[in-house]
Amino acid sequence: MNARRHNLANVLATGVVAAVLVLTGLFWARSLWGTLRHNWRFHAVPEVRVGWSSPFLWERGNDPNLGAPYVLTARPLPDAPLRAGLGLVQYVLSRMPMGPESYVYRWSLHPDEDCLYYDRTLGQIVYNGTKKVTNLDGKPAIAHFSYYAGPEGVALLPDEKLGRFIDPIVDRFPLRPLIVYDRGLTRFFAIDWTGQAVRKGPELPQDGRHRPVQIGMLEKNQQSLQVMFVQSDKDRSGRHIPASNFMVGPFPMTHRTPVLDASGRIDLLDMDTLELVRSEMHLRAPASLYSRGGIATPKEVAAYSVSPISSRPPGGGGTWTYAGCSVAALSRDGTSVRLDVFDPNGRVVASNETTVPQHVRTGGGGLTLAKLALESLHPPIFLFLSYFPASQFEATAGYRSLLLLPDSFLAMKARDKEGRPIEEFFASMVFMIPALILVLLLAWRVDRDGGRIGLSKNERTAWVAGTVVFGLPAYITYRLTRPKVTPVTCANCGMGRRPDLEKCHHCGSPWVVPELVPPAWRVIGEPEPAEDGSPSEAQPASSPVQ
Amino acid sequence: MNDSPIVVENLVKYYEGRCVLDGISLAVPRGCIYGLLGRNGSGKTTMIRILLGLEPPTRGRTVVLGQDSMRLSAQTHGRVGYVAEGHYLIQSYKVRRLVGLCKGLSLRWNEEFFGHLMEAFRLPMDRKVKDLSAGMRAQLNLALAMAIDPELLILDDPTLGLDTVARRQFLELAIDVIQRQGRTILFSSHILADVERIADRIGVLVAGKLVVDCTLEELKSRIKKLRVIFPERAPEDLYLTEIVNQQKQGREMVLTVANWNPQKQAILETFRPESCTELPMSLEDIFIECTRPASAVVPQEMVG
Amino acid sequence: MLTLIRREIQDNLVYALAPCAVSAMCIGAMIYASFVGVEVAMPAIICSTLLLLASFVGFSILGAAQMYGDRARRISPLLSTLAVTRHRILAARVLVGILAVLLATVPVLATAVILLRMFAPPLEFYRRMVVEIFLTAVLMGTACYSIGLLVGWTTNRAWLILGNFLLLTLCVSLMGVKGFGPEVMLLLLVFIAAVWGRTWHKFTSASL
Repeated sequence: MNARRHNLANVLATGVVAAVLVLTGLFWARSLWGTLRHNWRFHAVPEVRVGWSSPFLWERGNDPNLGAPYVLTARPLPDAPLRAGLGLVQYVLSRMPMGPESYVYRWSLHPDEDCLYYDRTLGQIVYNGTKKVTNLDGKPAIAHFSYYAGPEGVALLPDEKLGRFIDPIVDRFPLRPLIVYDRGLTRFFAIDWTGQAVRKGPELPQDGRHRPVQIGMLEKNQQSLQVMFVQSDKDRSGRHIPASNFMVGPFPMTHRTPVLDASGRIDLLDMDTLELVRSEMHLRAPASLYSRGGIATPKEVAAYSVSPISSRPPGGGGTWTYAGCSVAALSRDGTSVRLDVFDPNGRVVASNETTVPQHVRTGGGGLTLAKLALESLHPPIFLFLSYFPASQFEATAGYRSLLLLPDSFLAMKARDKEGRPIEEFFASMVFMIPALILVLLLAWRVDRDGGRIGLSKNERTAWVAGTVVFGLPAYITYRLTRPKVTPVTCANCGMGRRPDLEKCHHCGSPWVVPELVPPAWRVIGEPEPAEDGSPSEAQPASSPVQ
Repeated sequence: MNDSPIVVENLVKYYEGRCVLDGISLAVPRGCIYGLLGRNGSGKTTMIRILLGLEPPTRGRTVVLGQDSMRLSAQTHGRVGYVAEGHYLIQSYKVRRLVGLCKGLSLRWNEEFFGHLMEAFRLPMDRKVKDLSAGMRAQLNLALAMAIDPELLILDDPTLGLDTVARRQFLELAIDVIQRQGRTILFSSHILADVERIADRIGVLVAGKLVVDCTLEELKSRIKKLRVIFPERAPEDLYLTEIVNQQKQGREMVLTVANWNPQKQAILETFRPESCTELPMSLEDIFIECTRPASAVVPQEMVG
Repeated sequence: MLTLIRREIQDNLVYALAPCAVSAMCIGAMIYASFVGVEVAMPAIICSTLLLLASFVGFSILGAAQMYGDRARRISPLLSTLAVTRHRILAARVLVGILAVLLATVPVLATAVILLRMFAPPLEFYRRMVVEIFLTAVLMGTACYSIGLLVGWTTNRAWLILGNFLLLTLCVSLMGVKGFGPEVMLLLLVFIAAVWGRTWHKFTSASL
C-alpha cells in the first residue's frame, strides 16, 4: 500500500469513527434538550380536559338536571419523547409479544395461559388455549387445545383448506370474536373460536382510500400519553346516580368498533355485518411551539389513543349503544395534547388543546435558540438532506435518528406545505444559516492550518470542501490526521517549514540546517568489492579521494 | 544490483524540530564489519532504529537486505539479528519463556549454538529478565540475536554492561560470525579498542553528517597529526584546507589534517617549519580529534 | 502466528477471562430464572442486562490492556525485530480479542436457545429476537474491544481511563439509540472496520 492510499484509508477510517461518535454525542445532547424542555413544560402546563355536564345533546336534549358530570383528561407522561421514540424502546415494544408490529397477539410466560399468534409459515392464526377438565379419577386438571383459523374456517389441526392469511392485523382486545383485517385480501373477518367459524366481510374497494392500519384498540405509544375518564356518581343537583351510564374504552358494549385508516380517518366497523362505515372522525395533531397542528395521519403524531364511548339509559340496565369516540393525540415533540370528542355521526362536540402559559412561551425562546445551536453542530449535508423526506418521517423518528434530523426547524418548515415549493425550500434553508456560518469558520481554520503545515493546494481544497459538507466531524478528523510535524524555521524566509518536505513550502528554498555546524572535511573511501569479486556501487563522494 | 545489505540514501531525521541526521548516505558492503561511531546524541541509535523500521525517517530512505526499512517482510526480519542499546527484552518474562518466544518466532534457530552460548554466559533459565544484572541481560540479548544464525547483525553498543571477559567472548563470537561466508555486522560502540580490533570499515557521525566512511587503514593513512615547530611564532593562518584540529603555543603547532597529500605538504613547507613530526594516532585518538568541537575550521566554500 | 496468539493469551489471560466470568454469572441468572418461574423473570432480565454491560466494559479493558501493556513493557519493539511484521502482531492481538468476545457471548446464546426450547412456547419471534440480540451483542462487544485497542496505544493513563470511558459510553449508547436489529448491526460493522483501520494505521506508523 503506498503512502497516499495509506493516508486516505486512515482519513476515511478516522472520519467514520469521528462521525459516529460525534453524531451519537449530538443525539444525546438533543435528547437531553428535548427531555428538559418536555419535563419543564410538563410541570408548567396543565392537562387537557374535556367535560360534559349533561348527556350528549343529541340524546337527551339540553336538560342540565339529567345525567352526571363526565370529564375526560389527557396529558403527556414525563420523558414522553424518549419513551415514545428511542430505538431500544421501539425495538422492545414492537418485537415483544403483543407489540404493535408483533404477530403474537396474546402471550404469557405462564404455560397455562392462552396464546394467540399468526404463524407465517402456515398463513393461519393459531389459538393455543387451556380449559379446566376433570380427570378420570375425579381430580381437576388443565387441558391444552389448539385451533387454527384461516380465511375459510377454523380447525383443530392446520389444514390447507382453511386458506392463508397474507398480512393480517387484528383487534387485540381479548374478549370479542377476533376481528381480523387482512391487508392482502382487503376484507374483514370475524373468527369465533368457540363456534369454530369464520365470517367474512365484503371486500374493500381498491381505491387507495381504504387502508386500515389498526382495529379496536387504537393506540400508539401508550406509555407516553395518559388518558383518563372520570365520572362522578352525583348529578349537578347532587342526586346520587347508582349505576354508570357512560363508558369510555374499547369494551364490547356495542357492536361497533373503531378502525383507524392510514390517512388518519377513523371509521367504524359493524361487527355483525363486518362492513366499514365511513365517518368524519379524524386524528388531529395539536399545535405546539414548533408546529401548527391540524388533521394528521398516525405517523404524524407521537402518540394517540382512540376510545369508543358507549352509553345506556341512566339507572342501570338497558342496552349499550354507540355514543361516539374520544380521540387524544400527542404532538411530535411530546409537549402538546389535543383531545376531541365526536358524536355518533362523527361531528366534533367537544375539543380542547394544550394551552401554553406565557412564561413558558417566553422561556421557550431560550430553548429554541439552544435547539438551533445544537442543530447547527450537525453536519450540514445531513441537515440539508433532512428537507426532502421531511413529510415521510414518522413522528418519533427523531428520537432514534443519527444522521437525518426529522425534528429540525428545517424539516418542520418543509412539512408546513404552505406556499410554493420553491418559496418553502428557501424558507427552510434559512435555518441552515447558523450551521453554514459555523462550518465556514471551521473551514477557514482548516485552510489556514493547512497552509501553515505545507499541505498541497489540492489537499487543502479537499479538506475545506469536506469540512463545509461534513462540518464538525470533518474538522475533528482533520485535527486527528493532519501531519504531526514540528515546523522548523526556514533559513531563507524565516517561516516555519516542514522537515519532511524537500523544499520550503513558502519560499521553495532547499534545506539548510544552520544550527548544525559540521566540519568542512570528509574522509570518504571507495566501497570495497563484494567477496565474490563483483564490483559494488560507488559511494556518494563528498570530497575527492586522494 | 546493489549487493550491500545496508544502504542509506540521504537520510534525514528530525525530532521535535531538532535535526539529528542531516543527509546521511552510506552502503555497508556484504561481509564487512562496519563500526559506526559518534558521540552521545550524534544519531547512531536513531539511524539503527530507522534501519530496522522501528522509527520512520523524516526524509530519505534506508534499505536492508534489499527491502525498504519501513516495509520489511517477516522473512527479512528473520535474517537480521539485533542487539539494542538498553536491551529490549520483556522484563516480566522468565528467561525460558523469552527464549521460547524468540525461538517460536524465528526462521532458523541454532539450538546447539544457543545452548553453547547460554552455557558460556551461565545464564539462569528460570529467573525473570528483570532480575538479571545489566551484563547478563546484555549476554542474553546477544545470545538471542546470534542463535537465529543471522545474515546481518546489527549491534547497538552490545558490550555495554559486559565485563572484560564477556567482552572478549563477544568479540570472538563476532569474529566467528564474520568468518561465515556473507555475514555482515554493523555495530556501534564507545569502546574504540574493540572497534579497532574487529572493524573493517569505520563511519563517524558528527553534527548530523557522516564525516568518515572508509576502511580503518585508509582512515589512519588519511588523517595525520603533525607537530610542527616554526623558527618564530607559529603563523596565524596556514592556508591549509581540511584542518581537523589545530593547537598553537608559541613556535609549536599541533595540526590534525584530513586527506593529507603532497599539495598540503608543499603549502606547509612554504612556511619554512623547523621540524615537522608525524604523531601516531590510534582510532581513539582519531575519533577524539574528529569529534572535538572545531576551534579553527576553514569555511566550507574552501573545500576542494 | 500461533506463537503470537499464544503470547497474547498468556499475557492477557486475566482480562480475557473476566468477561467470561461475567457471562457465566449471566448464564446462572438465566437458568435460575427459568427453573424458579416467571416471578423472577424481570429481575433476571435486569441482572442479565447489567452483566452484559459489565462484559462490554471488560472487553474494552482487554483491548486497552493489550495495547497499553505492549507500550509500557516494550513488547512490540522486541517482536518487531524478530521474524514478524507489525501487521501480524496486531492481527494476533485482534484475533485473541475476538476470541474472547465469542467465548463470552456464545455460551450465553447457547444457554438462551436451550432454555427457550425447554420452557417457552414454540414461537418464531423468540428465535428472531434471540439471533438479533445475540449478533448485536457480539458486534457491540467487538466494538467496545476495538475502542480499547484504539485508546490503549498511549502512555497517558488519564486519557486511557477517561477516553476509554467516554468513547465506550457513546458506543454502548448506540444500542439505546437504535435498539437491536439489522440497522444497528450494519452501523456497528462499519464502526468496527473504521476503528480497526485507525488502530492499524496508528500502530504500524508509530515509533516503537
